[in-house]
Amino acid sequence: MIKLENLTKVYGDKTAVDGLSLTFKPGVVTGLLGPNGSGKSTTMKMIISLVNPTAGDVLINGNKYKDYQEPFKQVGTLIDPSALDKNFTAKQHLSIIAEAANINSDRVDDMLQITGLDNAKDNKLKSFSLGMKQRLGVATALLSNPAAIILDEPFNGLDVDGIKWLRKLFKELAEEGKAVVVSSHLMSEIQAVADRVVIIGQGKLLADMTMEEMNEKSLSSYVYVEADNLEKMKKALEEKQAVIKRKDAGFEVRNLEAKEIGRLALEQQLTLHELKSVKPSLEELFTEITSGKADYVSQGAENK
Amino acid sequence: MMNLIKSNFKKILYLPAYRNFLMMTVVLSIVFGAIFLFTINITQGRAFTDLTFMEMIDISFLGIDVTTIMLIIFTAMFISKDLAAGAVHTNLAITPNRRKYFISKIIFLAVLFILISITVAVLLVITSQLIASAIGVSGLSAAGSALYQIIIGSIVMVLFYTLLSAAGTFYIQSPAGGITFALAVMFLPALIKMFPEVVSDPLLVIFPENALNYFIGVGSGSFVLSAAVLLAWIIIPSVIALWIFNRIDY
Repeated sequence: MIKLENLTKVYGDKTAVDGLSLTFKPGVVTGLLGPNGSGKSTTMKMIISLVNPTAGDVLINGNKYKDYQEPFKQVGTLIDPSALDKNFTAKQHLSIIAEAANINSDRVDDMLQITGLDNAKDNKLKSFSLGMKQRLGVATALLSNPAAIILDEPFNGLDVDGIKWLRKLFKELAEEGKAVVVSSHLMSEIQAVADRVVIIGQGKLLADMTMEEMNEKSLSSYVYVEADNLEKMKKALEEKQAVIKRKDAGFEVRNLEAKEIGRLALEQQLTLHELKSVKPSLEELFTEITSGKADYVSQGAENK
Repeated sequence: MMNLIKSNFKKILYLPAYRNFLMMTVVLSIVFGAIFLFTINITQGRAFTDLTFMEMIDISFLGIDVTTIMLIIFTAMFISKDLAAGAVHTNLAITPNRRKYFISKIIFLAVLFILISITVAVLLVITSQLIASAIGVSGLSAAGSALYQIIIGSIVMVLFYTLLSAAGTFYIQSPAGGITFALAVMFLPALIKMFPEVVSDPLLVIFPENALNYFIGVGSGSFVLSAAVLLAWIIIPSVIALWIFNRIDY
């Protein structure tokens, strides 16, 4: 379990991370989302002591990462897939890490096989594509079979097979009881793998809930209803304190569930032409939650 | 700690560039030692055949200066490669205790350089002995304890300047910083000597040149004072470098 307690990082007059308190639990895939400069990477780096917090603490199973005798066995990380000496081969890279972290050298071959790099194990890393470097980064993170895994943008550069493989891997790791933390700007990927979503904006925690909770609470989720008599339908909905907005040939209805609207229509003897729950994509949720929180938003994006 | 030291040895083992650099260091040191010896009539106006065996050793051991400069460069490159953007994330994720990381690097380099400087020293002695035999000068048997002193002093010199290079690299976080720092300490006394003695003499006491000369056997002074000067030069920059290294956010 990774526990962030009032974690804060200030660079000069800029607060990168602002009093973040969170817990990453075992057996859960947590998606970490936020606009550029929101503090995701700084938070991840503070977890593994690459960045010194200005205030607050990160505790991994009760201790600080740097206080462990063999910290790499607690948390496996992929912060930067280019974090390697390109003159080594994949096998040499992993062997050096295994030696430094006191990990059985048999794990090196296992990881090369699991990540699909077995055939390229003797190739120099300078010949690796970004996708292959990502796979090697994942192999590095899993080398010590750690209790928690933190991966920063692991989907970047992966092909379709790689993305499918990574989705499956995250599920398996969570099923093994590991805490998996994944940041990504590909929200569809987070939606596909995460059990829980944490959204950070300007270093602050904006949202922390399960995917289901998020869908339910979002303003982007509503019930679309079309009926033969819209005026009568509107009046009935308003009596139930529903929030109504005209859309196409019907209404967007909030604060009432579809089954309640169906029952209401029956009571009012209205014929429904359409009744459906509209759930937002994570992208819509993300935009909703971080609206106005991005440090760097292009003019075009802001106007859309 | 042992695992970190072993992983550093693996890096040397795996990368031909490192191995070649170290082999070139040994070869160039011997070649330059021989060149200094064979050009003595040009540089000092003395006939080569007039030299005693210990004079031959003194001259050929100038090859150790080449070893020192090459290893200053190697140290700065080796450390800065691990501290380069990206690679440092992996290295410090494995060893977040930066004091442990720093000390393991220093121990690894010290052990490696002791082995290399012993190799160079032995090869320089063998080269001098072969040349002495060829021109009929009494060799090793006439050398005595002075020979051991120059070998030990040479190892101390190599270690001293390379550890300064390591401290400089950690402090400035660049190979240029490490190399410049070590070379500045090496060459500043030559500049100071250009000033009148009233200025230069007190300054030279705090520079390591006299202390190193004492260990090589060509300078005056005491063991305690010389060791204290060298240790101060190593410890103070290392403590500052470690303090800076601990505070850096990567």
